[in-house]
Amino acid sequence: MSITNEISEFLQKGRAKNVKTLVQQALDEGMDPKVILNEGLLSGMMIIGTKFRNNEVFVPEVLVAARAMNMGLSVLEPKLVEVGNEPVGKAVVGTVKGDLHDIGKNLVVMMLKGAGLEVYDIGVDADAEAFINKAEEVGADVIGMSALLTTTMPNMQTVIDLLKEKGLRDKYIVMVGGAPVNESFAEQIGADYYTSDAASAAEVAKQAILAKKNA
Amino acid sequence: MQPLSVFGKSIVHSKGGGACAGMRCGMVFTEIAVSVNKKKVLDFLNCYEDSSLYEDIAEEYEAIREKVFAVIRPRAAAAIGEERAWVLLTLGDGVSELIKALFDAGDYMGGMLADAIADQSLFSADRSVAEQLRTVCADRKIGVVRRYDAPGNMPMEKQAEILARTEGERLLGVGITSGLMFDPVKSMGYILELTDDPTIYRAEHDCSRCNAQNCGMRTCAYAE
Ligand code: B12
Repeated sequence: MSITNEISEFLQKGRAKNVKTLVQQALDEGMDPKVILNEGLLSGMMIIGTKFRNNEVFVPEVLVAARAMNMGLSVLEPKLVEVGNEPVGKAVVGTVKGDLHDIGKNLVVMMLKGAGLEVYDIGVDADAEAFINKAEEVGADVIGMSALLTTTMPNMQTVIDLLKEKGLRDKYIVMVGGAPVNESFAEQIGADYYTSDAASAAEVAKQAILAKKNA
Repeated sequence: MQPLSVFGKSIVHSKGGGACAGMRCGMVFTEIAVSVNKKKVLDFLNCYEDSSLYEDIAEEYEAIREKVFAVIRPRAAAAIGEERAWVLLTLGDGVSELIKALFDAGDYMGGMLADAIADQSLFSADRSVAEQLRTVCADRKIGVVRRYDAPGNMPMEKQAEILARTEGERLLGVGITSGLMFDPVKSMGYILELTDDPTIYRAEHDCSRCNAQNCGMRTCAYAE
């Protein structure tokens, strides 16, 4: 088995220490950091994400896999910077103004990172300016908003309205989610995508970024 | 005057005179027993005994539980009026900081465990406060007919009323967001409908009267 396959296998089992050691070993052997990232870490996360969407594995498996990926990345990241690796895209993610529920948002952040995106987590109770300012500052592709309360869902619309007001709406892929949010609400407020879980969010974000870049 | 507190009794801060005048009264609880059930926490994370990860996660659970218990600061405030009582409880914001730090460090499993343990601690604190309030009510020869939680059986706007009535901001350092959530997030509030009949005491959350149909914590069906 190739070392990248081994990394992917250990990652899927959530064996963080093994992943870390193997990433280091691959680097020591002179392997291209981008190959380690794409064929080892990201490939393992993609397999876990797919299995999760197909109900073959559950939340704990995804959590430990993502943690293993993070351990691997901690070794790999400085080398990726050295070789000037470009992320798949950049995303700004937060829970909207008034809302402090953060677990769903945290999992979306985790899965987006697992799909190779550079993610900026702006936390909870984030107002429209916070989303837009961060997105502008980092040159984001995606703005992802989470809301868990019916009282705070309208604040997703506020962000979209402000984007329009600033003439920035088309610059970003706007994604929304959270327990009370659904497809028709997303459509109604003019968001681009809604997904019901974090694994699909990552997949959709990646596809949407690639489609936009190739358009 | 600074609020005093005694385990199980939880004394009075009063605006007017020295002690609690007539029925109107406010109180702070600082001695709140908290316990969590490991199975409930692991079930909430979909981690069952037949999972290959079970043993590792169960071990991790113990370590994280200790961390959570080291930072939670369960406190509650209640205000008792003529017909209603308002109750607010919080674990403080230390636990939110712990959870955020775990997620930020990429320890997603640790973060999820800490979050679920904190939720269970909050519910446990809730039961503990309800028990202490039982004594308070008995002393006053009053009872509780019904409990209202937002948005299950009262509007979210009532969370602002709870904060004001309990003086939660001053006494517990709890704030409220524009979406009417208490801040810190690991807080909860409710209103009790009082009765002169001291034999009735229904101050615990009643799933059968709460319309949150898809709530993961539901213990029985909605019956109203
Ligand atoms: C755990 C929880 C809490 C925890 C907080 C946990 C936290 N730190 O976030 C605690 C116990 C503190 C809490 C408190 C309250 N909560 Co609460 N809470 C929940 C619960 C049970 C689960 C939420 C959760 O974490 N789920 C797990 C995560 C992983 O799922 P998720 O958030 O849905 O996210 C997934 C997807 O939605 C999606 N997603 C999420 N965000 C995004 C973003 C994007 C861009 C995309 C693409 C996808 C996406 O991907 C995620 C991962 O797969 C829900 C019920 C439910 N069924 O959702 C109620 C719920 C959200 N809470 C609710 C309420 C009302 C409250 C309270 C106000 C109740 C009260 N009276 O006390 C209090 C507020 C307390 C306060 N401080 O004022 C209501 C909201 C009702 C409504 N429609 O407005 C719910 C729906 C429960 C209910 N049915 O009544 N809560």
